[in-house]
Amino acid sequence: MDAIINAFSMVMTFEVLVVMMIAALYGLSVGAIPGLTASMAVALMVPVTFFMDPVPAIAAIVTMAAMAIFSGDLPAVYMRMPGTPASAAYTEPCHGLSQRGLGEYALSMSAVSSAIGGSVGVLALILCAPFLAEFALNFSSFEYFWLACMGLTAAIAVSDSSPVKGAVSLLLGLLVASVGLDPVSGEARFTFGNADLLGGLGFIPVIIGLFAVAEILRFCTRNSRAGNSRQAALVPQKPMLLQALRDIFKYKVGVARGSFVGVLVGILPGAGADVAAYISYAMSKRAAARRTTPDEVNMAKIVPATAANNAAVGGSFIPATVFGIPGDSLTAIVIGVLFMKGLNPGPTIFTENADMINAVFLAFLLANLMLIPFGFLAIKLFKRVLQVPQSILMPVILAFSIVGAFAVENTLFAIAIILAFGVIGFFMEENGFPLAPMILGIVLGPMLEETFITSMMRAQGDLMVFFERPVSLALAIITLSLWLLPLLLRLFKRRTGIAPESPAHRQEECTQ
Amino acid sequence: MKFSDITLGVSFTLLGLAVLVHGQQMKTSPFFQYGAGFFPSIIGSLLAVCGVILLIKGIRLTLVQQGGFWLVQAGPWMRDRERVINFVLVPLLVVAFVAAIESVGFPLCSVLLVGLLCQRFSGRPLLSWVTAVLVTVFLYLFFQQLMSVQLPMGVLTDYQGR
Repeated sequence: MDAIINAFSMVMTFEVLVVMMIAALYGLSVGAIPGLTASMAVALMVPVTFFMDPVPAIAAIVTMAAMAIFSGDLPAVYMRMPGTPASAAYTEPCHGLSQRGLGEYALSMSAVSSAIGGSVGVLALILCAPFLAEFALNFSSFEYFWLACMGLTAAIAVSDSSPVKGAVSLLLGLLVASVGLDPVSGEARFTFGNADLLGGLGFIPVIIGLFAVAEILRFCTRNSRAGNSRQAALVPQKPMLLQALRDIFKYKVGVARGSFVGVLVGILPGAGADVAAYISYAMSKRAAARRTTPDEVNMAKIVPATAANNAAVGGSFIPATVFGIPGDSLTAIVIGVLFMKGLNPGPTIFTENADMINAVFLAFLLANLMLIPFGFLAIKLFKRVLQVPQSILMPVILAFSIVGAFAVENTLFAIAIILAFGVIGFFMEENGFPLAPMILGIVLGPMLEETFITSMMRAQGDLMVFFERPVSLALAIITLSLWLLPLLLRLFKRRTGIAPESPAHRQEECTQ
Repeated sequence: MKFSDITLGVSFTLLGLAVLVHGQQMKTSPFFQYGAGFFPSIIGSLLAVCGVILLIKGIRLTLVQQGGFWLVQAGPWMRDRERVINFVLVPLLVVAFVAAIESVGFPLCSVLLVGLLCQRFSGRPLLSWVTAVLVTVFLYLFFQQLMSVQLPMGVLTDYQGR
């Protein structure tokens, strides 16, 4: 009880609340702009949080992530352009509703169900994480090694592109993480005599480059002078904010199911809010068919999916805080910030920093509750956000990226890093290499290496020791099945005479 | 710009091998069983294996499609001169920014960077330069004054308010 009271006193301060409100407005604005993802919003925000205390810093990031994921629905509804990938699952039916003036209704329902889903996610986090942490206290380097392997494998498995390209992206991330001093022996690696590289490639400049600068370069390839064209006129919408507050009870089962699915998917390493929304949307189809009007059918599919994508954010924090294994790139960035603030994620965080982590969870809950008033505000002000032309916005983002990276690293070398990683990120996405495995590789690289080398030393080179402890064996079996099952399935299909893949499919895969 | 699986396969195989060779050359400390190069060598080997898989996929695809051999394909945007200029301008201006910031100072460099890019992208001079000045003032006030980050002031050092 004392821990909760302490957490309350840490969150309910003027500073934290003001920071959360500013982060909320920022998250809503960035998420509402098509092409700017929640990860990019967080990446740009990290340098600012660098100068804050841990609680307001993490509160700002979780508030912004929750808001950005919700506001991704705004362009999805009005313009058929999902603001973030998490909104892509239900863009089509939402847009259909807005064409008949029901966009505001759909969005209000989405705000309410996102708030409920997000809160369920945080409650699951508050309830499950300490129990899991107690169990994880017995883990040794062997278990952590397999957990890191599992997280990294899952990141490849759920990415849209070919597994080989996912693996390359992951290996590049691990390679980036190994630049600088070796965590075990302290020797310099891949520094090529450059003193700036001794501390490694800064995490913040790297993510700013991959998400923000790469997006600016992509913008350059999309538009010549078209960037300043304003968006098409929006269909006038009926004001139905309050109606949504009443109608949400009609879909209570759907919201509950969506939240549950979201939490479960979020816990899985590698699967994030977008996967949760797709699964929940697909699961709601049968239940939705029982509704009478077409609008209700659509809403019965949209509402659970919007609850699911916000619930997944809370779910993904469970493995992130307990094991230090992030589920997706967004959580990976948050883990990076936790490390930066001296709150080392892992089971001991609940004993050594109990007040602090409870305060973070509480801020997270508050952020989700803020979704309803701030979401309604965003729905009303959305047209104004769209009036900012991207041709003006992109250079501004570039300036923020440069100054943000410089401010954190205090060296001009950081600007070179954001540029280099911007170009790398651009070419990776052009050629179908997913970015998420690379980010996870960068965050998990040091942990993977440390646990691997420590385990190898303890085992004196005997690999069988990796399978001796019961939990380690179970984790090893899951990880190895993730590696081997797709290969075995392919072989089985060939044996049974099912055509493996059509050339057309293969071509698509290769040229992605 | 898209690279074929053959090009990507060869590049990643070479990169993997280079990492492997570099890792092998790192010294092993007498106090540790495994040196600093041990883990990077594993990454390099796996990268080389992935490169070979990509290469094989690329070759198989080329054999399936007649006349399907290609190494690099220019994207549609590369045929539009305006877009290529925009694309090249961003890194060029960032490099120029880094080169000039110590002597010219952050405020002037930032106004020029944002102003030039906004004008180039939007074609609206007034909006572009007003935005550039406002953004620079905001960044200066926020990072330099509020967060105490020492941004280089260059020629403006003598005029800097305390």
